[in-house]
Amino acid sequence: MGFGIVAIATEVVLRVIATSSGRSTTGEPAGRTVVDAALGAGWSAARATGAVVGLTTRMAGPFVGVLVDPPLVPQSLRPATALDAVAHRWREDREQLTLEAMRVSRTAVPAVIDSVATTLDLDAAISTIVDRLDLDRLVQHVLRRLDLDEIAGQAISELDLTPIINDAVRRVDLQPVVTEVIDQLDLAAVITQVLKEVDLTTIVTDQVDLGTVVNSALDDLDLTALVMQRVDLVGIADYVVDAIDLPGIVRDSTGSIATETVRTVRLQAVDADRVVARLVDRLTLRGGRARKLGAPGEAEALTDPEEPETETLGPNA
Amino acid sequence: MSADASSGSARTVRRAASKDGIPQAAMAFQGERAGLISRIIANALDFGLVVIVLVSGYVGYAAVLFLLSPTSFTFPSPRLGLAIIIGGAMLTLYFWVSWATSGRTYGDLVMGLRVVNWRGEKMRWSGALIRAGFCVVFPIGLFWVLISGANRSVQDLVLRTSVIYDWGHQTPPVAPAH
Repeated sequence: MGFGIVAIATEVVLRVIATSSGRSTTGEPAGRTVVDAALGAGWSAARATGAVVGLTTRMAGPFVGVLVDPPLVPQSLRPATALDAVAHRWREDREQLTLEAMRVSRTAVPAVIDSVATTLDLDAAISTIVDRLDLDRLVQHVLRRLDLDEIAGQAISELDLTPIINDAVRRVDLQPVVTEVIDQLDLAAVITQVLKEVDLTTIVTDQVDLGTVVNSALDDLDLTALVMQRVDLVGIADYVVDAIDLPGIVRDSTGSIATETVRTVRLQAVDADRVVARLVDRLTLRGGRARKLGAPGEAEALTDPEEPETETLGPNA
Repeated sequence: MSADASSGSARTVRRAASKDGIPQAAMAFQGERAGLISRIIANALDFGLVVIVLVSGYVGYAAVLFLLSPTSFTFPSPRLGLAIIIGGAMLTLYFWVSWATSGRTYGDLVMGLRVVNWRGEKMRWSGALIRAGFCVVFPIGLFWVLISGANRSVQDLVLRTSVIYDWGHQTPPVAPAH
């Protein structure tokens, strides 16, 4: 077993040496065969030695046991007693020695690592290691092992994001970012969706003092100048005139006035007719005989059984 | 002529008048024979209208003469007799067509008058022509309205016609031929 480990280590060292010197053992089968043969021979010898030692131990075990702890010999004189004393001494000193070794190692290991790091090309070594790793499988395996949600939640809860975000905002040129976002977004659809889900009317009426807003806007605006500048008053006037049919209104109002005037003239003329008729009737001494002003044919039909005598205009009418 | 027929025509005039939006003050005398003042005003309007037409014709005639001979143009001076004849003819034609078609001239329309026959209906063409000529030839006959006990002119008495107050717009039916 020990030789196997030594053999493998030897092979590794030889490969490293070959690689560092620019020669590949895979490119020289003869040399590799020699090395493998040497190591194989050593491995066989070691195995044979191990087998012999094992067999010897098993065969000599009982004899060694008797020799170490012979029966009928006082306990103090037995070799086992001396061995136990040695073992007991080791157990007592082992802890102190371990602590001493750890102290030494704490002092020595950094120096050794520093020396190794100074000696070795760590970048190349790490690059080689990274090149040989299947990073995809490794990352996937790590990700499977990790609970990313919990880690992210824990990180967010422990982080003070405000300075981070402020620093990021200061460092990032937001203009192209925002421009890109706007280019990518369908702003019309987004705004439409937002407006569908928000009751703007209620929000505005509840939250905004519309009277103050309107009054402030009106105070700041010169409405007359604004209207004169931006409104096509002539076009609006033409539209209004076309829409309300002004000639028709003028015509109707004029006709109404004319109708009223005609009615007045007619009534005055009728009154004049009656005055003149009454005057003539008195001058001609017609007396109580009333003028027969009824409908045509009344001269032939002096009485009408169905019509009251409203048509007649007597002298005292 | 029966009493029912005559009184029926009076009711017809009032009924039509009630549908034409005539003021209540005028409803009482709708269908009565009109007095002298209303008829004089109506005739004055008609006379003025014919004068305007005659003057317009004179001006048009003068314009034609001017266009034909601008250098030697002078306003035409028609003889008085010819002017009276033309004017009378125009007035007769105007009265005839007006009374035979709508029963009223423009002056009658303004004053709310209508000329009807003895049945209270629109005059026939022949009767309208005779009355038109009679009125033009003997206009003073109108003043018999004062003397008549029924607001009738000489023409009305002779031809058995009447001029009545009728502020409505409905034309009475044509009298049937006898």
